[in-house]
Amino acid sequence: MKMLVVRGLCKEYRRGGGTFYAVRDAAMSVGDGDFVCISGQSGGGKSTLLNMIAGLLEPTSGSITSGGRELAGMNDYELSLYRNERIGYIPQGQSILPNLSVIDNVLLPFYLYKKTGDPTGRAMTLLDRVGIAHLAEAYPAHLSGGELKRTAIARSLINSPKMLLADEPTVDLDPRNAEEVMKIFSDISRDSAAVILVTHEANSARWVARRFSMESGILKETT
Amino acid sequence: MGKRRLTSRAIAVQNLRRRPMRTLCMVSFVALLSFVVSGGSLFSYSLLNGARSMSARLGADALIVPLGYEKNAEGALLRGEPSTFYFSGELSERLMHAEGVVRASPQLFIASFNSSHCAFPAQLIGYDPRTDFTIGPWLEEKMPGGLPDGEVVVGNLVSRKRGDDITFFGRTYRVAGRLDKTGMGFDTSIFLNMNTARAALADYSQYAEKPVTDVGGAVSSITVDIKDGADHSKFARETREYFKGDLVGVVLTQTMIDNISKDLGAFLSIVTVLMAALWALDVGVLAILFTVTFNERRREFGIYRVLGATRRKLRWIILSESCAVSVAGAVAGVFSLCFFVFPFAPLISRTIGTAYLQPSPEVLSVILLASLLVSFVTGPVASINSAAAIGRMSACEALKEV
Repeated sequence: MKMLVVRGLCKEYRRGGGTFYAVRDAAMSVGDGDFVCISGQSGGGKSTLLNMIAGLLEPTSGSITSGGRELAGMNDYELSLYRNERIGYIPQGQSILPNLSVIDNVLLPFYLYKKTGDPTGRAMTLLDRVGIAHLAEAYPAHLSGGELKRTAIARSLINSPKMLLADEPTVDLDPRNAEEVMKIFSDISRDSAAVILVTHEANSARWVARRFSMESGILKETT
Repeated sequence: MGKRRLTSRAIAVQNLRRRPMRTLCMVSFVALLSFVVSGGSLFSYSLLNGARSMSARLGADALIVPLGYEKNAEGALLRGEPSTFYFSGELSERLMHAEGVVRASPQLFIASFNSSHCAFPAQLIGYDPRTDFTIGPWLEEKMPGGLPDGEVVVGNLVSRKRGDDITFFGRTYRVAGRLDKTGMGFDTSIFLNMNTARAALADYSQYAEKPVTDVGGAVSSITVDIKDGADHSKFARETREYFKGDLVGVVLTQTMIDNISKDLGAFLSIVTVLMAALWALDVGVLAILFTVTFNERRREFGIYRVLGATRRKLRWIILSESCAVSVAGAVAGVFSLCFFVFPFAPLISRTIGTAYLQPSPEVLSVILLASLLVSFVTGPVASINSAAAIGRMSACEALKEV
């Protein structure tokens, strides 16, 4: 069973009296351990596609199936649970909650639903994996851009998701930090989680196995 | 590293702790409301309680006093303002048998001095146990068998206890008992039987600038019960007219209580309106603060959604924050009330110049709990709009905001 199957996906908006297609008839399938990159110019529809896959945005038409379940028709609770348990999402820009410490940010997705296990131990392991275990008790205001991004990555992995979605994860990072972040994603995909990366930076694309391009809402696989 | 549990409440508390100025501002608003509602309710209830106590304690239809001393009599009874005035024994005998009087008893008011031969300035009230029907019955509750000569009973706020000595005009009296609180001038007064009062008046006369000429017969006021069904105002008018040459004034106790009740009613209406207005203002201000805060934190709530929080969960976080603010504010307000108002109750009583009697602990608990409840609901009510907006928020739109 494919991790993700997208078919005939469209998202249209009414703009200036006409219809604007942010995503037009997109199709893709992603398996376990796939490392996929969707690249393209800003405004091409990449983030819209990612938000629909994450269940944050309702498509105008088409279908998204994840782990055999159709997202359309899920209620708010089911969609929220899907985001919490099946996917890890790293939004574009700074996404760390300012009032929680690094460790609490990482732990938060675990505590949104009733679960068992040792979340603190796992959170520390993840922070160690992304190289910021020593900052566990720090607050976001005292972290650099690279450290914040690593916190977001650790947080996205706390519930052992089957699929990781990252929207422009290396933007605003210096080349060394960008390289390290991409290496972490590569390691995650090797651990059998699917990784879908959205970026407009050509450098990031060299890490991935499958590449897609997206221009004016049209998605094409390029390799 | 300790074990953590990030419940909605824990997240809310953390959000409030990390924004101390904003939190302090919101808590202060609720605390102010809580203080005013609990204080206003307590104040209103104490005034009503005082009026009820006064009505029960005065127990006579009218007081007959020397003309021009009507306000002094009211001041002595309501506020314990020391005052000395009297008319002759011969006149008092005639007044006690005036037309329309069914029961009468003399009282003697003596004001002690602020000097070395008096313990402190106070109103001494002498009553005649043989005829008295106002002070005697409730003094009897404390002093079965009556008050012996040479002994006094002190009001609740007088700092003497049973068995203590107390000196007035160079003579020492033994304190035989202490009365319950009345909220009236009686709380700071000293009660003596008529024999002891006459001895005190003789002592007073020695120190006074103007000696008393009729120590043995002088009377300050006569408490009177008027014939059933008689028009009290007519009685007052006719008594003044009949004793015109003797310069007699009449204080109708019901009129006195009615006037106070009327003023009290108007005052309580104002207090109620002010409390309601303050509550509405508080809800409005807090609603604005919550809305502004919510708009500032749209991206933050968008991130919660991305991480898998349901809309219901976000509403809980908002409501938990507003509840935490309300609880802190309500408790701070009531605590402030306990700290500032209770110790100063006697001062308040003296300042407002009317009967003021704080309620029993049971009633007080009900007032404070009700005030806590009113203050507590303020935050959640004010945050309803923000909580509803969460339900309409698009996480994608929120994430685009910086």
